[in-house]
Amino acid sequence: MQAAAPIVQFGHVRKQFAGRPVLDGISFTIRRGEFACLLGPSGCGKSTTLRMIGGLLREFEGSVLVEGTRPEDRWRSLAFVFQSPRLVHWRTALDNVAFGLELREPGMRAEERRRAALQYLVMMGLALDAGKYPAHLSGGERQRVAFARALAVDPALILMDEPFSDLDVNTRERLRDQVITIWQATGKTIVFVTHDVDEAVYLADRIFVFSRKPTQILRILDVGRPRPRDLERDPALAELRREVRALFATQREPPHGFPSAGDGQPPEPAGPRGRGSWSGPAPRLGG
Amino acid sequence: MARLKELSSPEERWGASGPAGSSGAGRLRRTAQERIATDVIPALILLAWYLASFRAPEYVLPNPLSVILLTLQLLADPALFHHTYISLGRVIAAVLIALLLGSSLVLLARYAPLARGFIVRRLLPFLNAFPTLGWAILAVYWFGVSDPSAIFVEVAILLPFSMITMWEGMKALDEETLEMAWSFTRNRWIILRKVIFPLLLPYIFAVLRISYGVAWKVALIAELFGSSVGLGYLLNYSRNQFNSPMLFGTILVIIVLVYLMDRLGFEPLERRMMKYRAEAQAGPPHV
Repeated sequence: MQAAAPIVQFGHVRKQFAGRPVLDGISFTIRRGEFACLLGPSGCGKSTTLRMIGGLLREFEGSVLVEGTRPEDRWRSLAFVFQSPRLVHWRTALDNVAFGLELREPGMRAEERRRAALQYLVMMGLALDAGKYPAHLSGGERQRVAFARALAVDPALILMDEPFSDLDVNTRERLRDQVITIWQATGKTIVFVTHDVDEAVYLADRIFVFSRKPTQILRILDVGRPRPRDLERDPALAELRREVRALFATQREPPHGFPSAGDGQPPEPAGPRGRGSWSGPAPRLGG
Repeated sequence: MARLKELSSPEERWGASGPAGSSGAGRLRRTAQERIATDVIPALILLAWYLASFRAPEYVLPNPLSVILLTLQLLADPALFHHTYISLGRVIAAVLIALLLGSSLVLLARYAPLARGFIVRRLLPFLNAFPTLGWAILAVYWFGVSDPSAIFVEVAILLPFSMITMWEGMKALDEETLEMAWSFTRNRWIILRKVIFPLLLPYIFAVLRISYGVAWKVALIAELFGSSVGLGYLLNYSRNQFNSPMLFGTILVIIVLVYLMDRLGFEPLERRMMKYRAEAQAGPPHV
């Protein structure tokens, strides 16, 4: 594993929606094999950033490189896990996992596809649910199917957009562990968007802290603690959490005269993902 | 029809999910009552018709037996059945052409914004408002008395039905699912086949069912003017000849064909293609 090689590079990236600046000159590098969390308040442009990496959003200023080239040329290297599972309701769990492969590798034989799909479904602990339709799966199970679907295309880079924010606390914590286990087993790069400080501290190798709009990167924090992590018992993590929360607190309200777009709480741009995209709860800042 | 009714009848619902206490005998009796309402009443009407036909002149009310005989001849007697099957062939051709043409126009409207205004705001209302009789007369001027003439009229009338329904289907396409598909492939053709088509399937069935019934109504007018063969022609011929049994027989054969297509064509096909629905319902609901 070439740990130090860059897989994603942002250089002075700016983006506006309807004349409002969202990203205000963002530069960072994500290394191959690392678990990177993009952390920031709701609506700060984290998901926009992720969609740029994924080549789903192509109009912006500055440079975005994935594996050294344009994202739209590297779409085969990556896979998304969205905030909602986005399964197709007319296919079973197994066939939903195979669906990503089917879209990406239409030449592959159906049997082979299903064999691969089953392997990832087993990995996610859903072997017994292979024949169930999404309507009969719980929210957590659906999101695990979506994760298996992403893994099945064997991407170098997995882009996860607040994948657990719609789930209950217990499910969320279980899935975090599962993601870590699989990440460790497969050596893939994961870029994980979240607005939850604890989640970022629990998961990430490095945390990229985004400011509120117009967004800049406030800080890049190296977590550098062994896993599995315990935020309550590990003093270094507790300290880190305090630090990030303090950083976040400065972002809660725009200070007087703060040169934002001059708005209290601007409506979200309808641009990037349509409905439901930024509709999560307010950022969990304090505790 | 009958199946739908059975499924939605309260007995069925109680039978499927109700407490074990619901009595079997009660269910049987209810079903028997329903059968009476469904089948015995038409039989009684037929009997009344039969009796009344002895008292009325034949051109007012022909003997139902001779009508049924003619219906059978129209379906199975080589001397007559070409009228039936030529009409049926035209109807099926028109339904399929209208579905394909309507879907293509609407797809074009969705993906080519330049064409949208013309298709949705000009062409559609124009076709929707155009009178059937107008098309029928014009078709004879343009195509003479021929197959294309009849099919043209039927397609012209069916087109707005398929366009309106498919346009609704397009508007209801789930953007998130489409974006998910786009994240796995950049092949629009695969997305059309594997994502958009299944999502539109319920709308396609709606178009087929509505069109098939409407097409028969239009077929008669189209054939009245633009054809020397077919049930419309036969209807006009019977009218001129005061051949009342033939007139009634022609009407009955159409009723039979519409009913049979629904029961033996659309229903099984829909069940097969939307199998997941039945399976999704049969499975254990998640708790």
